[in-house]
Amino acid sequence: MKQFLFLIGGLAAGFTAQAQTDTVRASTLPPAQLAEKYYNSGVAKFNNKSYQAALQDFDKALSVKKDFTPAYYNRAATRYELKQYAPAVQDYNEAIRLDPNSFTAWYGRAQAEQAQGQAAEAEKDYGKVTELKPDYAVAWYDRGALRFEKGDYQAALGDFTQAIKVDSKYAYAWHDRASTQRQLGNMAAAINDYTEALRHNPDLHVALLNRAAAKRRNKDLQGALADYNDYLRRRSDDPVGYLGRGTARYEAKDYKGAIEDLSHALKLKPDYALALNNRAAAYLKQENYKAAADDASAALKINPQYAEAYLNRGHAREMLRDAGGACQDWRRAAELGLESGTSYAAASGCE
Amino acid sequence: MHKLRYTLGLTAGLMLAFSASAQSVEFTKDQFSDNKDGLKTALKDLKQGDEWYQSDPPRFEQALPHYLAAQELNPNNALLNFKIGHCYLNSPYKSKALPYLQKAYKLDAVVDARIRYMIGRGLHLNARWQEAIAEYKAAMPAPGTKNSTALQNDIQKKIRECESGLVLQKNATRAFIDNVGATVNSPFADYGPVITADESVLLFTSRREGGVGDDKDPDSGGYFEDIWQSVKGADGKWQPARNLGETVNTKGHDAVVALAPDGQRLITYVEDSGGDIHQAELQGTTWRKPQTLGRRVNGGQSHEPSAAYAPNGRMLYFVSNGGGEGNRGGHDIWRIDIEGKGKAENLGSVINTPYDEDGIFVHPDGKTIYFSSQGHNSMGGFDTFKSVWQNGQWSKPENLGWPINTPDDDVFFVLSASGRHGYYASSRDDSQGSRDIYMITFLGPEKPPVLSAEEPLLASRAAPVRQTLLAPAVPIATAQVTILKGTVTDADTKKPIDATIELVDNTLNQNIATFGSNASTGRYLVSLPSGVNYGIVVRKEGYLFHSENFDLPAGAAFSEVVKDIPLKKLDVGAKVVLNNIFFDFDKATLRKESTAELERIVQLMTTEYPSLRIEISGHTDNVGKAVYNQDLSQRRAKAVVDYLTGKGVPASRLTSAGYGDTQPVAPNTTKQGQALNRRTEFKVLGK
Repeated sequence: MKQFLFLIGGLAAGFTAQAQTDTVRASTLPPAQLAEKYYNSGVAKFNNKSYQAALQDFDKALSVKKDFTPAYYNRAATRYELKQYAPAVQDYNEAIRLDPNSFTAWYGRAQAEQAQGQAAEAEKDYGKVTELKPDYAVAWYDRGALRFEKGDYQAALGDFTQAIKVDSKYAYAWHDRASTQRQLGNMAAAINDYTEALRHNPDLHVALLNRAAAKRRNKDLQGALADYNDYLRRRSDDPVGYLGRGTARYEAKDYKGAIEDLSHALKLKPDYALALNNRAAAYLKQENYKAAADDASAALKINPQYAEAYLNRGHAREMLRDAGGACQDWRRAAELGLESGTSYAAASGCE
Repeated sequence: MHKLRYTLGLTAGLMLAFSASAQSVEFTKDQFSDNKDGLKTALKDLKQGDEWYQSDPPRFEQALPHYLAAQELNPNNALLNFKIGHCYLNSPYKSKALPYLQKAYKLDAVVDARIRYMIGRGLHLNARWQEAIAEYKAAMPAPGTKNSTALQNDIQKKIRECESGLVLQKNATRAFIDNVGATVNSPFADYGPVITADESVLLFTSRREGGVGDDKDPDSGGYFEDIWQSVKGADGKWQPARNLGETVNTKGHDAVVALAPDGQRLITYVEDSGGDIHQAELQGTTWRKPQTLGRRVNGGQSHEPSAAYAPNGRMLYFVSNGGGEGNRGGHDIWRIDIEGKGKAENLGSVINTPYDEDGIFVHPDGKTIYFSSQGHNSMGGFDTFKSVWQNGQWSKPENLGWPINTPDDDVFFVLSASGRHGYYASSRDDSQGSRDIYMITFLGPEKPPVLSAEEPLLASRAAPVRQTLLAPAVPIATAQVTILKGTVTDADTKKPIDATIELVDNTLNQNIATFGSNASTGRYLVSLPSGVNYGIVVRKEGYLFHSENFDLPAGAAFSEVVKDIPLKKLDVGAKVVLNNIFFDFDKATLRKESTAELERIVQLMTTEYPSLRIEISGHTDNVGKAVYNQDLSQRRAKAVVDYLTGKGVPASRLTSAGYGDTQPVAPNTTKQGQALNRRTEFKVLGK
């Protein structure tokens, strides 16, 4: 209360009584309350997704009250929503400095770091969250996802397992543990976990898509096709589903069916380079080399760095008696990372 | 050249008589009464065809044009159809036999005792494996039939070949097979290609016209074989073939077999002493006359149709049907150190079979051989095989597979040093005529197409869930205010006073702010945010201070209060209500919110007016008994005096008085009036 500032209306000569009264009302709001008021206004605007306006409110709150921890935290969250990740991290830093035991600030900073590609820092901060609040399943999950992305599947497996232990109905954790099992070659375990994910969240369609792929890799092509069919019943507008089923049909040697699916994917997404490449592969199997070369060329027009498409076009050109073109394509595929291109070129007598 | 035995083998003894059939149309006047000339011509062709057909050995290719001419008049004669089919089976165009044989059978199921077998052959040569097997089985003689064993064995072998063909065609070898073109191949038979390691020179055998003798072999009716050569031009195409000339070629049969690795020796086949291997040496740019390789290679009357040098130029691999007891059956492959003195060595049972082997070729790597065989898992006739010398033994021969090998003979295969191209002779649809030389481009195992996958393995990436944890809103005391305003004046003169106004938080006993009223107007305006028990003290030197209380609890609504304050001169008899002195309910206990007001009085008495004498009086409303009220007011007044004396104000300057409800300042008929009447007063008794 000491900081309250009271002005006396009418002290200044010439002011009308009415004007003096207005001055008093505007200037006698308590400073601490002002910060909180701006802060709360910011919260309301954030919840209305008016992030820019919310940011201004949090700025004002902090200009009034420099040590307003929640305002730093929420301004960080707002900046995160505005994709201003670096300033968001700075605000989280301040929030953590003021309250090092707030797991939410650590978590928020981890998210902002992750968003700006600082995976290692994010992983570390997620780890801090798991220490401060071990029952916060999301932190385990998010760290697991980061570890998955860097290829540390064993560590990811542990995190996803812990997330499931904390929250046994956590469908995303089941799903991603399934994907981790898949990467570790444990297809049966992957299929089980995808099934659990679907049990806890039947609307998690991606689990169906990935279970289909796992079954495909487990040589259960019929099971895979059933899952793809189910997925496409739910998501008939998803070219990725058609790409997957097309691949399953290809592996089942149903090249005609594969071409139908991949053509459907291309109808939905005409610039879908993967579908063009895979359809080129199916045309190769049908010995329709001209169509294969055309599809691979179209894929390369979309993505000039597409190694697989170079390789497939090389195969097609070889069969079209364009040995020079085939050699060129295989070598380009090799340059882009497909080593088999080198051996194909060598075996085919490319000079 | 060395003759392949185009074995039908079982053609002897065919019945030549036309059999009567309801469907078969005979070459009779009755049938062609309206075309006597045509019949006459047809009968003449039949006669000429039969002469070739029945000659020893039969001249199928010569018979065929006559039969086909007769067929134009009468396509529905069973026996003629049979003969045409038979001729085709013994020509370079074997696959054409099938429709004639099938028609013959349709016209007359017993046109010939071997008709089912020969239909089986026709199907076999057209790679119609399953149907061929069925026909072969139908042709199988009953057990115990006279002279049936050879036929049974032959049919069983053919069935095995079809079974091999089924498997091999299903797992076809990836290769391009291209005719090397008209600059090399002719309308006549061209075969036996030999190439230099770098594929720059192609030597081959041809029965084309324009050879050294340029004459026909009376035995076969075709031109004598000669050796021809083509050189690859700068454009990568074979230049027109030229005859190697009289030094190498003779007026008889001359066939090329192989080139030594150094290119300085040319191995040829010469049809003498049963067929022998000869060798010509290069002198400058001219080949010298070929000389026999002698008795260590060429047996007495044995047949040596093929040979090849190992890369060291000393070890010679060759094919011979000689060798005595060491022979595994038919033609076998042997090898010998051509510069040594030892005997030829049979390559053994891994390579050699009871059937014929031929067309040996040694790859420049020195450990891989290619050869043709009627045995192993041939799909029919000679197939070409590959075997590798490893760990002191030959590997199991590997069939080069379909479509390099066919149900017909596939022989005399050579391979470039790179292993990329092979050359051999074959009868194919794109032939320049008869057999031609083809180049095989090996494509290797299938190059598997590469598929791409799009699998969103992380659910949070595929279907992101935003989980931004936001700190909640904080509670805020309502910033509603009470506006207190009015005018400070002299109570007597009514003139404005520039008084000092102190704002005190009674609860905290803290001065919040101090300000003054306007000197010229006496007006003041104070904003009082709710949530505070305010004490407001208006002072002016020489005047008795004025005390107001505004207890504004949190959430109190906005209001505007006009409070004019007439300050009284500090004169004897002047009195003021101490609005900021509070007691517990129905008690004389001072509440802590009174402290600020009490301290002001202490200040006034001790510092500002050290001789001031005052009376502190207590007043009540009229609720309750008067006696009680009087007592309560007395005790409350005394409590104030006690506080002041406790703070050092001499008791002599203080008087307490309890007036109960006897001096009301407002009617007791309202709550507000009663509240105003419950008060503590300060009265100046002396200065």
